[in-house]
Amino acid sequence: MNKQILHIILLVAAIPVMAATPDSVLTEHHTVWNTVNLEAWKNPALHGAAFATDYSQLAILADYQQQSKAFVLQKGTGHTHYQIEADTYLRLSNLTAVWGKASYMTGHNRSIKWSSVSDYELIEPYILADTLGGRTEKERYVFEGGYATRLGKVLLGGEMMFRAEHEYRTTDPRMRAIVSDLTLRAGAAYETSRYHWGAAFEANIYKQTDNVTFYREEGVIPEFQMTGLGAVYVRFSGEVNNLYFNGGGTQLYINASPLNGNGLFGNITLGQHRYERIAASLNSLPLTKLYRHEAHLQAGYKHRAQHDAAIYVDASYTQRLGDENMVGSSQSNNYPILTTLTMYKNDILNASLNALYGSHENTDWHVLLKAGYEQNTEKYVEPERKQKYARVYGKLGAQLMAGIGQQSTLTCSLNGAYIKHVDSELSIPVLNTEAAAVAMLNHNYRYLKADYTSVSASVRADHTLADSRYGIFAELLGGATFCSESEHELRFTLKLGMTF
Amino acid sequence: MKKNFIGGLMMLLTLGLSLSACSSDDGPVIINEPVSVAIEMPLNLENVVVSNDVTTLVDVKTGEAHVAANAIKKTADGYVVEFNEVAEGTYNLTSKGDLTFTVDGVAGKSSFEMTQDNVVLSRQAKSAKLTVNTFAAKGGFVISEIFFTGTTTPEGKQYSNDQYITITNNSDVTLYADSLAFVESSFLTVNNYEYVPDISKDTLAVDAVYMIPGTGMSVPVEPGKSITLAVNAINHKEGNANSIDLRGADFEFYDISSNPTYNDVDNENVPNLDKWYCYTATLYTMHNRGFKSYAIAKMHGTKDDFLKNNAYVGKYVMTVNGNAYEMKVNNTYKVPMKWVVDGVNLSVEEEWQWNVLPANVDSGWTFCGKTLNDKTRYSKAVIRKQDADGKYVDTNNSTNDFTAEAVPSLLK
Amino acid sequence: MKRILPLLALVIGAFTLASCHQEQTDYYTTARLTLTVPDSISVRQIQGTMTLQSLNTTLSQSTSNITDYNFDMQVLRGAYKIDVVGMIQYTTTHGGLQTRHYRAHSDYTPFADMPLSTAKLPIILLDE
Repeated sequence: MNKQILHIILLVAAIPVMAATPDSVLTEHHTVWNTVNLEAWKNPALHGAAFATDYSQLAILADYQQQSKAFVLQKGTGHTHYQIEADTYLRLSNLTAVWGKASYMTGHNRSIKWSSVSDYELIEPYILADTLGGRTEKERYVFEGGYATRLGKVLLGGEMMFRAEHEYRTTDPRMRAIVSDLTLRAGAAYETSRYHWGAAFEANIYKQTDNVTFYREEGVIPEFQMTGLGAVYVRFSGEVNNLYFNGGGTQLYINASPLNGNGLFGNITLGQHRYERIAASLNSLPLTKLYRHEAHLQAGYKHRAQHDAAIYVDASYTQRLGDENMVGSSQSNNYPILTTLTMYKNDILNASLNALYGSHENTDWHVLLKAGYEQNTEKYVEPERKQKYARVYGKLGAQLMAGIGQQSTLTCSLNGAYIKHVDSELSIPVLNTEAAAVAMLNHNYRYLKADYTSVSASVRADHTLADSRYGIFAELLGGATFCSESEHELRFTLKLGMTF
Repeated sequence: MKKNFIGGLMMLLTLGLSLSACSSDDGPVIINEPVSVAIEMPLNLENVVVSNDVTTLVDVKTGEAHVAANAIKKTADGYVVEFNEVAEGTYNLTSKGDLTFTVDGVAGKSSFEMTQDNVVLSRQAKSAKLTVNTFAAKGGFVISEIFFTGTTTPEGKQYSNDQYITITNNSDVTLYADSLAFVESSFLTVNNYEYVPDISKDTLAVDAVYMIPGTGMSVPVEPGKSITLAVNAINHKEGNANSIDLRGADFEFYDISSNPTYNDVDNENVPNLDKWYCYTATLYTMHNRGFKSYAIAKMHGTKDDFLKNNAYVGKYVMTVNGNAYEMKVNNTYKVPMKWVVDGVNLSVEEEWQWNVLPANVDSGWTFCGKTLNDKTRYSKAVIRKQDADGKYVDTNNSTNDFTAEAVPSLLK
Repeated sequence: MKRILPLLALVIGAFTLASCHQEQTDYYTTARLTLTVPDSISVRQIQGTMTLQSLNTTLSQSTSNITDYNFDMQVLRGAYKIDVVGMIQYTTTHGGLQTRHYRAHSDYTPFADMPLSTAKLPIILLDE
């Protein structure tokens, strides 16, 4: 393994020697320097001023991931996805830009256990789960579109993002999840002598319907309504297999972006979302509601001249609270709610210091360094359950974009990351929890407190077809993660397409 | 400007980090005083002695157990077991063991096991209480069968030596039959004389008392099991082909006859009942037409004290052919009704006048035979009915509780 | 910068206030079960164990501490199944002393009021 990494590094190092200037459109749109601006570009008004050149890409890709043992049981051991996607950014004039994206993905996820829903990370722990699980087939449609323009000193922009997902299983337990996720964003920015001061507002509507059926009568197993850290809403578990989630939220973005790209910058994001789990077969009884509050701060200093340098902090704090409805006795299928109690609390803190250095004079090369701290605390009130873990991580990466001849561009990147466990705790009332749920928690916890070493590399070759604006490209991405639990993960992506 | 900005940011970051890390997690807090678990005994048990007890506190989070064996102590406040070095938390509490006790005077033994889940123990709440409740010492001994008619010989003569009575432990606990006596009522159910003094409210007038001997725990009878008291525990089939083999009886009536021609047979393998009193100087048999009531009573005190203090001195008026004669009551002793554990009135339909036993012992009566000298009564017994879970029905009404004129269970 | 900062604070403040979810932390209440005893008996002594089983989580909690026919227990607010078993010693109208087992049961009882949530159950005397 180490020998192969060495070879790649040598190859990459050799390129500047033979390189020519890479295609400027590609460098503008694909340089890793853009990660510094991604937060600001969430404001559609500022996204409209992101690029000076048009770029469109049509691609098909195959993505493969496999873990030797599932790091998170609910996410399975891996997936194989095939996708066709179209991506475009068009500068209509100096003042106006439009962008859009459409994609269709199909594939399957392997060995999903303890989750009969989609979007596990979004709505957990309030999911429907069973002990058997299995492989799921998946389809996803994404449509995005945005428009931005400028009126004097004011930039305005609007954006719409829609995602529809369909995940289902063809063997018992036959789960089916249908997700529709719509986000609308409207943003504005005011231009002063040196800065763009921006603010954007986002509204999201989310809906997921889930149901689980069994074709074999003898094989019916209970579907648990999970309520947090292995706790189960026993009363409505077993045969309540038709659920839907209604949710949505709003988000506020505030940006300070230096006009010429040099100077201090800051982005603040505040969001609140809620997702309610409703049992359809119990006369639409709401069982639980998950609230998510997020605050994200990104601030630092960037400078682009002969050399590019940026240093910034990235800190986010997410608080997830879960309300459980204590349900009374039903009269003619009408369930009164006696009281609502906040039984689940989850605090996630992630802070990192990032540095980027490079140049875009001839070849476009950058190195990036990231050092951060992550802490996740989960609590369930009664009977008391607790899980927490904290870890530090570091990431080192490099990207090189070099021209090969007049028509081609080669983009290589190499990344290495290390995650080290600092502190962890798991405390659950073992005697008051389903034995299978205890085993599930212990499995996931083992991987939450493990150390990880990760490496990934990607190579992309673009070739512009003679005298035209069309190009073709091929990209190969590979990565591996090694876990201190003697398990590992492998990832490969192959992407082919054309640019214009 | 730059420095201040970044400085401010770093401060914010540190603040955020410290705030979230602020929720300090203390390690387990040990309750510094001992945790005391009180074991409350059922209200109707007396003289309770606990043995072989094991009390456990299992931590719901870790599964760790605190076990206290043979640690239940009797204190002024009741039965208590203590645990030391218990950490605050939620526990499943279990206590099990054996009890010996007396209920209504009758000694018994049983085991107990109680559990209370999710008991929260902390420095403020360091005690728990378990109540022993789940077993039923109710039911006690009942008369389950009386075979009083005897059989007939192949020649047609009546044969009464094969009479027996069966006593069953109808409760859920082991009871001891020591000092339980078979008593026969002096008065007949077919002659309702006015007895003076009238002791019937709280005393039973008896003319025979045969007691199961023992020192207190010598004769254990397990729940559902029976003991048979046979007038003669021999194989009667040898002398009478229509009779019963009673060699398997648990106790036998043994009388030393004053008449040398009539001697009681003593089966050495079957213990004899301790004869406190019998009206007859020869051999005892039950009234085979069923005119007397029978009961089982727990005797207290010694035989000598009983015979000295409990004789019934009284009179009754007998009316014959229109003439009233005052008669003295003879050969009768008094057994307090409090000592009576179970009783059955026997009579015949044609002759029944009154129930000798009070209503709270037996408000009805049962029979084998309908008329005064019913020739069809032989080889029949009265047997107590059983309900669906095998328990004997005891509503203190033998009219309902017994199957009359039944085939004796030992007659094969 | 100076003008924008207070405006910024106002906007952020307004947003957080509007979206902040009120945590529902009134988790516990004291559940008080009162046993009602028939008028025909005059109670000398009563003992018993009350078990509450949460209808939502199926976890049970018990107490044997009875005072004046009342069981008090701190529980998570919600709906419960109640089972009481015990013994009662009483004098009957005829003056005799009797000791009998009794039980009480309820399939569904809500304990959601705060700070005290009450319920009443009649005792059923069992035949001995």
